Amino acid sequence: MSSATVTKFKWFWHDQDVEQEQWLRAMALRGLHLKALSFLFWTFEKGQSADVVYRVDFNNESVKPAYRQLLEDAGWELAAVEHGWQYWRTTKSQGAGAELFTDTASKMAKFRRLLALMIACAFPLLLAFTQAGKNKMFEQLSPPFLIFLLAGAAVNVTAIVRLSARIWRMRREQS
Amino acid sequence: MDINYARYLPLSEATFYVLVALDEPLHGYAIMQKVEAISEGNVVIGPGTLYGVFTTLEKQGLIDKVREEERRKIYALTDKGRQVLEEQVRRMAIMLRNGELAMAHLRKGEAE
Repeated sequence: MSSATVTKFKWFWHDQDVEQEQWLRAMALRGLHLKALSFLFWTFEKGQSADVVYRVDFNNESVKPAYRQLLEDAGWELAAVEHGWQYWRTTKSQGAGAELFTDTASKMAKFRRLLALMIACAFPLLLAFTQAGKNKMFEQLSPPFLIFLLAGAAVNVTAIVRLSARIWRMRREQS
Repeated sequence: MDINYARYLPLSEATFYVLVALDEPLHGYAIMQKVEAISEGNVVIGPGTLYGVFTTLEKQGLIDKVREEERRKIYALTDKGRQVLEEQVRRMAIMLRNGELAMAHLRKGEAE
Protein backbone atom coordinates (compact mmCIF):
# COMPACT_ATOMS: atom_id res chain seq x y z
CA MET A 1 0.00 0.00 0.00
CA SER A 2 2.50 2.57 -1.13
CA SER A 3 0.13 4.53 -3.36
CA ALA A 4 -0.44 8.09 -2.28
CA THR A 5 -3.80 9.40 -1.24
CA VAL A 6 -5.40 12.82 -1.29
CA THR A 7 -8.13 13.94 1.08
CA LYS A 8 -10.63 16.64 0.23
CA PHE A 9 -13.32 18.32 2.26
CA LYS A 10 -16.57 18.82 0.40
CA TRP A 11 -20.22 19.26 1.27
CA PHE A 12 -23.15 18.15 -0.86
CA TRP A 13 -26.85 18.45 -0.16
CA HIS A 14 -28.76 15.19 0.17
CA ASP A 15 -30.51 15.59 -3.18
CA GLN A 16 -27.30 16.41 -5.07
CA ASP A 17 -26.54 12.94 -6.39
CA VAL A 18 -25.85 14.15 -9.93
CA GLU A 19 -23.46 16.82 -8.63
CA GLN A 20 -21.58 14.21 -6.58
CA GLU A 21 -21.39 11.85 -9.53
CA GLN A 22 -20.06 14.56 -11.84
CA TRP A 23 -17.49 15.69 -9.31
CA LEU A 24 -16.25 12.12 -8.71
CA ARG A 25 -16.03 11.51 -12.45
CA ALA A 26 -14.03 14.71 -12.93
CA MET A 27 -11.69 13.63 -10.13
CA ALA A 28 -11.21 10.22 -11.80
CA LEU A 29 -10.31 11.96 -15.04
CA ARG A 30 -7.57 13.72 -13.05
CA GLY A 31 -6.40 10.33 -11.78
CA LEU A 32 -8.02 10.59 -8.35
CA HIS A 33 -10.14 7.56 -7.51
CA LEU A 34 -12.49 7.49 -4.55
CA LYS A 35 -11.19 5.21 -1.84
CA ALA A 36 -13.12 6.17 1.25
CA LEU A 37 -15.53 8.74 2.60
CA SER A 38 -15.67 9.76 6.22
CA PHE A 39 -18.27 12.39 7.10
CA LEU A 40 -17.34 15.19 4.66
CA PHE A 41 -13.78 14.04 4.04
CA TRP A 42 -13.26 12.30 0.73
CA THR A 43 -10.12 10.21 0.31
CA PHE A 44 -8.84 9.54 -3.19
CA GLU A 45 -6.16 7.21 -4.40
CA LYS A 46 -3.73 8.68 -6.91
CA GLY A 47 -3.53 6.68 -10.11
CA GLN A 48 -4.03 6.73 -13.85
CA SER A 49 -6.54 9.09 -15.36
CA ALA A 50 -9.67 7.13 -16.32
CA ASP A 51 -13.20 7.76 -17.45
CA VAL A 52 -15.12 6.27 -14.56
CA VAL A 53 -18.87 6.67 -14.09
CA TYR A 54 -20.00 6.98 -10.46
CA ARG A 55 -23.49 6.37 -9.14
CA VAL A 56 -24.62 7.33 -5.67
CA ASP A 57 -27.24 5.35 -3.80
CA PHE A 58 -28.60 5.62 -0.30
CA ASN A 59 -29.96 2.80 1.81
CA ASN A 60 -30.24 2.36 5.56
CA GLU A 61 -29.67 -1.33 5.10
CA SER A 62 -26.13 -2.58 4.67
CA VAL A 63 -25.08 -3.83 1.24
CA LYS A 64 -26.34 -7.41 1.05
CA PRO A 65 -23.96 -10.01 -0.47
CA ALA A 66 -26.47 -11.01 -3.19
CA TYR A 67 -27.01 -7.35 -4.11
CA ARG A 68 -23.30 -6.69 -4.26
CA GLN A 69 -22.78 -9.80 -6.39
CA LEU A 70 -25.47 -8.73 -8.88
CA LEU A 71 -23.96 -5.27 -9.27
CA GLU A 72 -20.44 -6.69 -9.59
CA ASP A 73 -21.66 -9.12 -12.27
CA ALA A 74 -23.08 -6.10 -14.10
CA GLY A 75 -19.67 -4.40 -14.00
CA TRP A 76 -19.98 -2.21 -10.89
CA GLU A 77 -17.55 -1.84 -8.03
CA LEU A 78 -18.40 -0.51 -4.60
CA ALA A 79 -15.88 2.30 -4.09
CA ALA A 80 -17.03 3.54 -0.69
CA VAL A 81 -19.81 3.26 1.88
CA GLU A 82 -20.55 5.88 4.51
CA HIS A 83 -23.61 6.05 6.77
CA GLY A 84 -25.92 4.45 4.23
CA TRP A 85 -24.40 6.25 1.24
CA GLN A 86 -23.09 3.83 -1.38
CA TYR A 87 -20.69 4.94 -4.10
CA TRP A 88 -20.66 2.58 -7.05
CA ARG A 89 -18.45 2.98 -10.08
CA THR A 90 -18.04 1.41 -13.48
CA THR A 91 -15.81 1.88 -16.48
CA LYS A 92 -18.69 0.87 -18.76
CA SER A 93 -19.47 3.36 -21.46
CA GLN A 94 -22.46 5.69 -21.58
CA GLY A 95 -26.09 4.72 -21.94
CA ALA A 96 -28.25 2.39 -19.95
CA GLY A 97 -25.26 0.22 -19.05
CA ALA A 98 -24.07 3.09 -16.88
CA GLU A 99 -27.19 3.20 -14.70
CA LEU A 100 -28.06 1.33 -11.52
CA PHE A 101 -31.68 2.40 -11.72
CA THR A 102 -33.62 2.49 -14.97
CA ASP A 103 -37.13 3.48 -13.92
CA THR A 104 -38.57 6.47 -12.12
CA ALA A 105 -39.99 4.46 -9.23
CA SER A 106 -36.64 2.97 -8.24
CA LYS A 107 -34.84 6.28 -8.83
CA MET A 108 -37.32 8.04 -6.58
CA ALA A 109 -37.08 5.37 -3.85
CA LYS A 110 -33.60 6.61 -2.93
CA PHE A 111 -34.88 10.12 -2.20
CA ARG A 112 -37.88 8.76 -0.31
CA ARG A 113 -35.55 6.81 1.99
CA LEU A 114 -33.46 9.95 2.56
CA LEU A 115 -36.53 12.07 3.21
CA ALA A 116 -37.84 9.54 5.72
CA LEU A 117 -34.49 9.65 7.54
CA MET A 118 -34.40 13.46 7.57
CA ILE A 119 -37.93 13.62 8.95
CA ALA A 120 -36.99 11.08 11.61
CA CYS A 121 -34.02 13.30 12.54
CA ALA A 122 -36.30 16.32 12.83
CA PHE A 123 -38.13 14.93 15.87
CA PRO A 124 -35.25 14.89 18.39
CA LEU A 125 -34.21 18.34 17.14
CA LEU A 126 -37.73 19.67 17.59
CA LEU A 127 -37.88 18.11 21.04
CA ALA A 128 -34.57 19.68 22.01
CA PHE A 129 -35.77 23.12 20.93
CA THR A 130 -39.16 22.94 22.62
CA GLN A 131 -37.65 21.64 25.85
CA ALA A 132 -34.94 24.28 25.84
CA GLY A 133 -37.52 26.98 25.08
CA LYS A 134 -39.90 25.85 27.79
CA ASN A 135 -37.22 25.76 30.46
CA LYS A 136 -35.66 29.04 29.33
CA MET A 137 -32.42 27.21 28.77
CA PHE A 138 -31.26 29.09 25.70
CA GLU A 139 -29.42 31.69 27.82
CA GLN A 140 -27.66 28.92 29.72
CA LEU A 141 -26.50 27.02 26.67
CA SER A 142 -22.97 27.73 25.59
CA PRO A 143 -22.86 29.73 22.34
CA PRO A 144 -20.89 27.06 20.43
CA PHE A 145 -23.41 24.41 21.37
CA LEU A 146 -26.30 26.69 20.48
CA ILE A 147 -24.75 27.42 17.09
CA PHE A 148 -24.22 23.69 16.54
CA LEU A 149 -27.86 22.99 17.37
CA LEU A 150 -29.12 25.80 15.12
CA ALA A 151 -26.88 24.72 12.24
CA GLY A 152 -28.12 21.15 12.60
CA ALA A 153 -31.71 22.31 12.49
CA ALA A 154 -31.05 24.54 9.47
CA VAL A 155 -29.40 21.68 7.56
CA ASN A 156 -32.23 19.34 8.50
CA VAL A 157 -34.99 21.70 7.36
CA THR A 158 -33.15 22.61 4.14
CA ALA A 159 -32.57 18.93 3.35
CA ILE A 160 -36.28 18.16 3.85
CA VAL A 161 -37.31 21.02 1.57
CA ARG A 162 -34.77 20.13 -1.12
CA LEU A 163 -35.58 16.41 -1.08
CA SER A 164 -39.32 17.09 -1.21
CA ALA A 165 -38.81 19.41 -4.18
CA ARG A 166 -36.72 16.79 -5.95
CA ILE A 167 -39.31 14.03 -5.41
CA TRP A 168 -42.09 16.37 -6.52
CA ARG A 169 -40.18 17.27 -9.69
CA MET A 170 -39.52 13.63 -10.52
CA ARG A 171 -43.17 12.77 -10.03
CA ARG A 172 -44.26 15.61 -12.31
CA GLU A 173 -41.82 14.58 -15.04
CA GLN A 174 -43.13 11.04 -14.84
CA SER A 175 -46.78 11.94 -15.47
CA MET B 1 -56.49 -21.43 -7.10
CA ASP B 2 -58.35 -18.30 -8.17
CA ILE B 3 -56.04 -15.40 -8.92
CA ASN B 4 -57.21 -11.81 -8.72
CA TYR B 5 -55.39 -10.72 -11.87
CA ALA B 6 -56.30 -7.06 -11.36
CA ARG B 7 -53.74 -7.05 -8.52
CA TYR B 8 -50.87 -7.83 -10.90
CA LEU B 9 -51.89 -6.66 -14.36
CA PRO B 10 -50.95 -4.91 -16.47
CA LEU B 11 -47.29 -5.74 -15.85
CA SER B 12 -44.74 -3.02 -16.49
CA GLU B 13 -42.49 -3.65 -19.46
CA ALA B 14 -39.55 -4.44 -17.18
CA THR B 15 -41.55 -6.83 -14.97
CA PHE B 16 -43.05 -8.53 -18.02
CA TYR B 17 -39.62 -9.19 -19.46
CA VAL B 18 -38.27 -10.50 -16.16
CA LEU B 19 -41.10 -13.06 -16.04
CA VAL B 20 -40.58 -13.96 -19.70
CA ALA B 21 -36.83 -14.40 -19.14
CA LEU B 22 -37.65 -16.79 -16.32
CA ASP B 23 -38.98 -19.49 -18.64
CA GLU B 24 -35.85 -21.17 -17.27
CA PRO B 25 -34.26 -20.63 -13.84
CA LEU B 26 -31.69 -17.83 -14.01
CA HIS B 27 -29.65 -15.50 -11.79
CA GLY B 28 -29.87 -11.71 -11.89
CA TYR B 29 -27.17 -10.79 -14.36
CA ALA B 30 -28.22 -13.55 -16.78
CA ILE B 31 -31.74 -12.09 -16.67
CA MET B 32 -30.39 -8.59 -17.44
CA GLN B 33 -28.52 -9.89 -20.47
CA LYS B 34 -31.39 -12.05 -21.69
CA VAL B 35 -33.93 -9.22 -21.39
CA GLU B 36 -31.73 -6.85 -23.37
CA ALA B 37 -31.20 -9.48 -26.08
CA ILE B 38 -34.78 -10.74 -26.52
CA SER B 39 -36.26 -7.23 -26.36
CA GLU B 40 -33.85 -6.30 -29.17
CA GLY B 41 -32.29 -3.65 -26.97
CA ASN B 42 -35.60 -1.93 -26.21
CA VAL B 43 -35.64 -2.87 -22.54
CA VAL B 44 -32.52 -2.45 -20.43
CA ILE B 45 -32.93 -3.02 -16.71
CA GLY B 46 -30.30 -1.60 -14.35
CA PRO B 47 -29.09 -3.96 -11.59
CA GLY B 48 -30.48 -1.75 -8.81
CA THR B 49 -33.90 -1.65 -10.41
CA LEU B 50 -33.81 -5.40 -11.09
CA TYR B 51 -33.09 -6.17 -7.44
CA GLY B 52 -36.18 -4.17 -6.48
CA VAL B 53 -38.24 -6.05 -9.07
CA PHE B 54 -37.07 -9.37 -7.51
CA THR B 55 -38.10 -8.22 -4.05
CA THR B 56 -41.56 -7.21 -5.27
CA LEU B 57 -42.14 -10.34 -7.37
CA GLU B 58 -40.96 -12.59 -4.54
CA LYS B 59 -43.33 -10.87 -2.11
CA GLN B 60 -46.18 -11.30 -4.61
CA GLY B 61 -45.29 -14.97 -4.95
CA LEU B 62 -44.76 -14.76 -8.70
CA ILE B 63 -41.13 -15.88 -8.55
CA ASP B 64 -39.16 -17.97 -6.12
CA LYS B 65 -35.52 -18.39 -5.22
CA VAL B 66 -34.70 -21.99 -6.16
CA ARG B 67 -31.07 -22.05 -5.12
CA GLU B 68 -27.97 -19.98 -4.55
CA GLU B 69 -24.66 -20.32 -6.37
CA GLU B 70 -21.74 -18.33 -4.99
CA ARG B 71 -23.93 -15.53 -3.59
CA ARG B 72 -25.99 -15.48 -6.82
CA LYS B 73 -29.68 -16.10 -6.26
CA ILE B 74 -31.25 -18.27 -8.94
CA TYR B 75 -34.92 -17.47 -9.52
CA ALA B 76 -37.72 -19.39 -11.18
CA LEU B 77 -41.37 -18.70 -11.96
CA THR B 78 -43.92 -20.07 -9.51
CA ASP B 79 -47.21 -21.59 -10.71
CA LYS B 80 -48.89 -18.31 -9.86
CA GLY B 81 -46.23 -16.40 -11.81
CA ARG B 82 -46.79 -18.60 -14.83
CA GLN B 83 -50.56 -18.04 -14.67
CA VAL B 84 -50.19 -14.27 -14.33
CA LEU B 85 -47.82 -14.21 -17.31
CA GLU B 86 -50.24 -16.35 -19.32
CA GLU B 87 -53.11 -13.96 -18.60
CA GLN B 88 -50.93 -10.98 -19.53
CA VAL B 89 -49.97 -12.62 -22.83
CA ARG B 90 -53.63 -13.45 -23.56
CA ARG B 91 -54.58 -9.79 -23.08
CA MET B 92 -51.61 -8.59 -25.12
CA ALA B 93 -52.61 -10.83 -28.02
CA ILE B 94 -56.02 -9.11 -28.07
CA MET B 95 -54.32 -5.71 -27.84
CA LEU B 96 -52.00 -6.56 -30.72
CA ARG B 97 -54.90 -7.78 -32.88
CA ASN B 98 -56.85 -4.61 -32.23
CA GLY B 99 -53.83 -2.42 -32.84
CA GLU B 100 -53.12 -4.08 -36.17
CA LEU B 101 -56.77 -3.77 -37.23
CA ALA B 102 -56.75 -0.07 -36.39
CA MET B 103 -53.49 0.51 -38.26
CA ALA B 104 -54.81 -1.32 -41.33
CA HIS B 105 -57.98 0.80 -41.18
CA LEU B 106 -55.96 4.00 -40.91
CA ARG B 107 -53.72 3.04 -43.80
CA LYS B 108 -56.76 2.26 -45.96
CA GLY B 109 -58.17 5.71 -45.14
CA GLU B 110 -54.91 7.32 -46.23
CA ALA B 111 -54.84 5.43 -49.50
CA GLU B 112 -58.31 6.64 -50.51
